[in-house]
Amino acid sequence: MAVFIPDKPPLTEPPTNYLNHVLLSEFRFLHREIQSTILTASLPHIPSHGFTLKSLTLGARDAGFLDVSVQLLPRAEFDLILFWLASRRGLLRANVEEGALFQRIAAETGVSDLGVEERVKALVLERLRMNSDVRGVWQDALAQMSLLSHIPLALNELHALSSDILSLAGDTSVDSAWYTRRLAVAAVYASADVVMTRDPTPDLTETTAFVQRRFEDRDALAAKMQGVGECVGLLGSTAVGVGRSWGLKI
Amino acid sequence: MESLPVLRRCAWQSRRRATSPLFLDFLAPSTLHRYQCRHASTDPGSPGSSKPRYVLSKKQREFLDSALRVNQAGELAATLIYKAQTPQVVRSHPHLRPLMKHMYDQEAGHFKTFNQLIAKHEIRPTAMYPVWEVAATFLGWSTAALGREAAMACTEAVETEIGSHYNDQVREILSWEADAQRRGEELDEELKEMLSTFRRIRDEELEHLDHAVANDAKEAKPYDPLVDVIRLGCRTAIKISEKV
Repeated sequence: MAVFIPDKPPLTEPPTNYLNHVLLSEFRFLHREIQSTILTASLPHIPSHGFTLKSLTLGARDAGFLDVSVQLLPRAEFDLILFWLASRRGLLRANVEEGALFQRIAAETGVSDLGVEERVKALVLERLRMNSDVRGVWQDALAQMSLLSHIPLALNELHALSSDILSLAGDTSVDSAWYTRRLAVAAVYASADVVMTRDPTPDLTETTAFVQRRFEDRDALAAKMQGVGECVGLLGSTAVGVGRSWGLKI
Repeated sequence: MESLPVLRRCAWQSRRRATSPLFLDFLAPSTLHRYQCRHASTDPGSPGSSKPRYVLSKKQREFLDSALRVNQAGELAATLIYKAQTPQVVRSHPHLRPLMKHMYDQEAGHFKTFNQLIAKHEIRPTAMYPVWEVAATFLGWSTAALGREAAMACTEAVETEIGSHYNDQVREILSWEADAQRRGEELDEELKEMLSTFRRIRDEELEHLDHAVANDAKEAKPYDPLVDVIRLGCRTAIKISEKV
């Protein structure tokens, strides 16, 4: 059971309010627990029934709830999709922190230690592999996520994933690279996700090759941008230097 | 045979413990995850002290996030201002070389400190980063072009704003400390360290302010409009960096 800490009420509040506060928190907590129980029980039904109400109903039955309890999930199928995404993300984190994912990959490829770039690539591929069981129904999920009202939450989750991937890979950029790197990882992952739904190979060879190519593209683009930046900077500092040598007060 | 139910319960509990972050990660994605990684380094109730640890509320954590973001942006701007000012000021007044170098080195140290803090706590840096880079370089360059007094007036204005900004942060953390004491709890070691870092940096910034005034910052012409505009700019930049 997770540690449950109700939000601290201010010290000045009368005790009755505190009781209300605790009861309300308890209620919310219980509500969340039931939601997550149903969602967890629905996960095994996804490969056969897809991200549908059917999976949710079967999951609720498995968990010992009535069919109608599916109504506890106001967004229905989309809640299941979000839960799938978030739980896979948690699993990815657990794989790295407890399952020693990087050590395993390093041992497989025969390198002593992986760099940040290789780690990012390994994490993207690992995350894609988690989706391979639901490949057949994933296009439906993508369609759901692209609905106008669902886009913000879907993008939020994509950002959380790319952020997690980069922080797990040990990226420590603290300038504009923070944004560009997250954008790049999110773009590679999202496009590979679409490619994977049409990948007939059982071990995702095509998707792996696609991800490899996208990372190469990204490196090429980054090198170009850096080159342009350096060139402009050099020109600027040369101009200022020439001006100063002429005695201009700049 | 009678140990079987106990075993099963243990297995159930351990499985629940292993998977529960996954459930809640979905239901409270931002707060819970951040809470966990924020305090990954210090475990609750460190063995040395008997007092329980003061847990920050969501609002306090948000304050800390935006404070660190602003501080990093501010130190970035400060290093760039000094870097842009140094060649021109030193050219006409070679005796200021050690002072400019001293101030620049201190700012670079502060910048490094905040970069580390931002990376450690996985805080988003400000989205205006490139804008501040250009703006700070331009501010440093243009005030230095106006002369030594204007450059020092710029330092004075910037450090006044930054000093009071750090002061506000120190005051806020001290109020948390007072709150923790009233509850019989103790602040996180990391927060205490941060408090002393903020105090040290604030004192160094105010020392720069004294240097600037000692070097005829008040002689700058036109003094009032120049300082007012720079201070207004600083305040606006702080407000923007808090949000984005």
